Amino acid sequence: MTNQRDRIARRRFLRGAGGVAIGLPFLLSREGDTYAQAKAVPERLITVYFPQGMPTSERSAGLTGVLAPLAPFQSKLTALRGLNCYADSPNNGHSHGSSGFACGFGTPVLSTKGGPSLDWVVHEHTQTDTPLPTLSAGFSGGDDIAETVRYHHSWRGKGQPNEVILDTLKLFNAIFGGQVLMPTGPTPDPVQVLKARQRVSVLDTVLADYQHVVSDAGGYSPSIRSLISNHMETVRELEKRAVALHLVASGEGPAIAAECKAPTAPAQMDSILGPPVNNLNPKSTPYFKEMWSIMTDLYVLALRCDLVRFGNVLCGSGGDSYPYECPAGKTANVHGEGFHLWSNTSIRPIVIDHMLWTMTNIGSLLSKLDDPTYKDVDGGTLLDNTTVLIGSELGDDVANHGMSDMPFWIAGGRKRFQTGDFLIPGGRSDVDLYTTILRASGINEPFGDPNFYNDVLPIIA
Amino acid sequence: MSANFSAARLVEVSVWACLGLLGCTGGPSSPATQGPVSSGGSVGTGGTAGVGGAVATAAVGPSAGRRLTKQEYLHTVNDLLGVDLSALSDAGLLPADQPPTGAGFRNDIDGLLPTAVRTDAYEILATRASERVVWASGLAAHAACVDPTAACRESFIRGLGRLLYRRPVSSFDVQNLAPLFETTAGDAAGFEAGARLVLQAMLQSPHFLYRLERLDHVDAVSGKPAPSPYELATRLAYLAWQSAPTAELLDAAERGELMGDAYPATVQRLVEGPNARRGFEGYAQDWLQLYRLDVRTPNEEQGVSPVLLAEMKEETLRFATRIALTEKRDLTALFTDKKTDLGPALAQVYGVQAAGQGFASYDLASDPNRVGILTQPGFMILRAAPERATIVHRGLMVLRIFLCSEVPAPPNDAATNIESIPTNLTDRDRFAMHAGTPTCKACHATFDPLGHPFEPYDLAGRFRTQDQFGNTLRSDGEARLDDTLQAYGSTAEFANLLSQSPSVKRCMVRKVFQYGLGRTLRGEDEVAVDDLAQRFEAAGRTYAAALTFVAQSPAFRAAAPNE
Repeated sequence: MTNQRDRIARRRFLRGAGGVAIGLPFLLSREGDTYAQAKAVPERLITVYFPQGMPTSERSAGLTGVLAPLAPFQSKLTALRGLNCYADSPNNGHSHGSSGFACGFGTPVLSTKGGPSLDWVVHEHTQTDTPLPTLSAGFSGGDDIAETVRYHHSWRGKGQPNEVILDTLKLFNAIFGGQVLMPTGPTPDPVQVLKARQRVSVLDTVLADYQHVVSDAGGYSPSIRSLISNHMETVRELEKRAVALHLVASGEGPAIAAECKAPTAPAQMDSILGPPVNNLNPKSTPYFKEMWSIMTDLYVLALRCDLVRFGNVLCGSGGDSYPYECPAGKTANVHGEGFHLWSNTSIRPIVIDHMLWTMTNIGSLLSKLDDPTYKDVDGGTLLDNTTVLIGSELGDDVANHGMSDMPFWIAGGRKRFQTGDFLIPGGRSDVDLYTTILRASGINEPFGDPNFYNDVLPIIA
Repeated sequence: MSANFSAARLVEVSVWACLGLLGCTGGPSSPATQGPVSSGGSVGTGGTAGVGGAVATAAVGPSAGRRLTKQEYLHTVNDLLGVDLSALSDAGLLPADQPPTGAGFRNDIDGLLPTAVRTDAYEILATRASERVVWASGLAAHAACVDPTAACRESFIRGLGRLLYRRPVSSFDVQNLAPLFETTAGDAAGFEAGARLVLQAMLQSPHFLYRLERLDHVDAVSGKPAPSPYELATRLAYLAWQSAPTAELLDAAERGELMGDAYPATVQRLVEGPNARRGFEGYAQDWLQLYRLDVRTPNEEQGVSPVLLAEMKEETLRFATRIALTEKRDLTALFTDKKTDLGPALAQVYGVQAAGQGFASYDLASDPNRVGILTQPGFMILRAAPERATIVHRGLMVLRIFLCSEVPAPPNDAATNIESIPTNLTDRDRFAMHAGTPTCKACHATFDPLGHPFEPYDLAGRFRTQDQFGNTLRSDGEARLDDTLQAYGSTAEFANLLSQSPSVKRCMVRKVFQYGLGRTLRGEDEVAVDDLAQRFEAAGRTYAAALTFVAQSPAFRAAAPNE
């Protein structure tokens, strides 16, 4: 489902490949135990979030209509209908459902979800040690920046978001280390080696500082120690990447795989703050689409190179209010003057077109994951070997913040799930789905609010 | 083919269209009956001296362990090192802070969560700052000597660390940081290169990025837990300046001038100091939620361009700063003052002749439809949808910002689209029909009347007398303030009512208190708010008075909660 704009954006992005090559330090993250050498398919789980829900009527006729972009992946897709979300929050329905998405808890505040998200639970259970523990990225068109639960869908626990990156350049820097200290010639540059070593020394010093604060010797309250401990985790991750970069700079590490050498940085695009690029303005669907193409390229590259195995891809956030124009008409606010007017027959075609636009974006991501030219360690595609959970914060009644019959799909999933269309009766909770995914992954821990849990769903292969 | 929206649009009232009965019980609470909001709970403001069950308990201190907000971080680096990181290429690396609630401040600890993205940004910015800081004017002052000796290195660490950590440096700090000099031993720049690495580490330290407060300091007189003089200096500096204490303030702390009888004079110096203006502007951006204008979706068709949005923010910030800081007036003048500064785009909205390309001052005495902050486009558009502003959004902003009140979340089954209501009515008439339905009535009856005075103003803030359907627009109405139903004949009269409302006046100092404590207020805090409100009233309700009384309050000076 790659369109002309996708191709243009991809070409522009990849044009930089002839520039200074910098590489991913991923190969060094496990002290020489490279992904290529490992030979075992690693556990991967990505959640893909899209906003505003989807009426049942658009999901009842198979992979047609707005779901046509998912049709190429039918043999790898499990569609779920009939599940409800029961999460609650202090604000309206978008925040209710957003707090519950991939987490299974409501929240008493809007700044944090109620517990760890699905991707993080699997990350922790598998003790995965990639340079980036998770990666969350995408776009958002929201005005309401007060509601963290609407943006961040990967959480280590309460108060610990894996912050979503809404900027192409920031995503590039997150993947490639931010500070370019890579060798530019056949022999190590002593200045760069020194800088890389000093960087590690600084981070080691910083890390010791955090460790002192969280220790008994620090003299701080439990809440401060907990907060600083959360921060320390991220410093430790950064320090690990710096060590890898130092080894690369000094020529002491193994060679970087050619396919993991990256192009020069993309143009900066931030879905909320801009700047405008190629006459496209932020908070518009053409801008989002351009961003999406670049960001999913980077995201898939990070997965291929085993920089990360878990995270969230954000295809908008709940309550996003931006203009939308299509052959069926236009609206200044696809949220308030679109989805919320679903029952208006003159407006519905515009909303349907927007749903198709969203599913086209998600289809393009799946297409990149399913690219047969890349072969995972078992010869399959990334999609084959990754559990991709696609979902939203609202369900059937998109006009009234309804959270019944939530739209969910599992793509890929390592053949752990039966494929096809499943209508789950009885008003079961989305927590049952999340728990089912964990069970299929061999994880028997409880997940989400136990009040919402009933049993695993009958979809495991 | 384009759908005809103006004809076919059904009533859509966004998220506040229909709210449950349980949470809303009438008009905005009076100071004596304001109660904490909870999901599904009662309407009001955090805590109460009456209904909420507040009792005279020991004051609970500010939250401890707050991360510096983005603005605090930028100010601090600039003030202490002379390095300006405010350019988008630098500051843009740091994600924006988000308040934890709709009426919260961005310095609330509940919203200041650590993330990997921030950690990466802090490292990059620390590196840039260490490279850009001028040795002679920025770092050399902390180096008594530059020999490669332990004594010189320790002296530098103690000098710079005292400023950046906002307290005397410990032995652990010295032992931890000093080895960084060794990594530059072969560097031609020698001591200076090592010093810059030390700076990099300090700028990523939890002692710099967070306002940590230890548990082991006790008040010399009472013997009870209390913040140390340095911690108190830090609280004061970030309250008044949004920045770190200066060396002089730390010296004052060391001399004991933040204790006992000397404290009020120290507070006064801060409140009137050169950074007070920046401190107020930072506070005002949160209090009035002006930061929302930075990320608001423009609507060019209705004239809401990015340029206009920027001018809107500038106007209200200038206006509030003039009233509060320059003229040091009663803050209720925010509702009644008739002068303002406008840029050329805003001048068009106001219907006045632009004075040039930049901002200029205007006296709006002859315009009966412009008065104070309420009719400023930057206020009226704050929470409006991209395509239109409603009385609901505007009423809610009055409720949250000036009445310190809140409404609970709508129930999950709240209807946002009631098709039976015709579209060609005024906002007031349409929402009156909503309010007539049982599930919508209670909450809409609370905030809709507060939005009625704004009906004649369109999305961009232009005054008009008729809407697109030819309906005559009204600005009169009745609002329940201070437990009394009060009638007004115009927006100006409504503004005047707010300016005289005890609830509004109490809310003004309550907001400063909330900001100072960096946390959501609790029921027991309302006793302190009552006391602050009395003193604020007696002192003429100036911002300086509010800041001073908050800084002098037992809660602000109390030990942080040991949780």
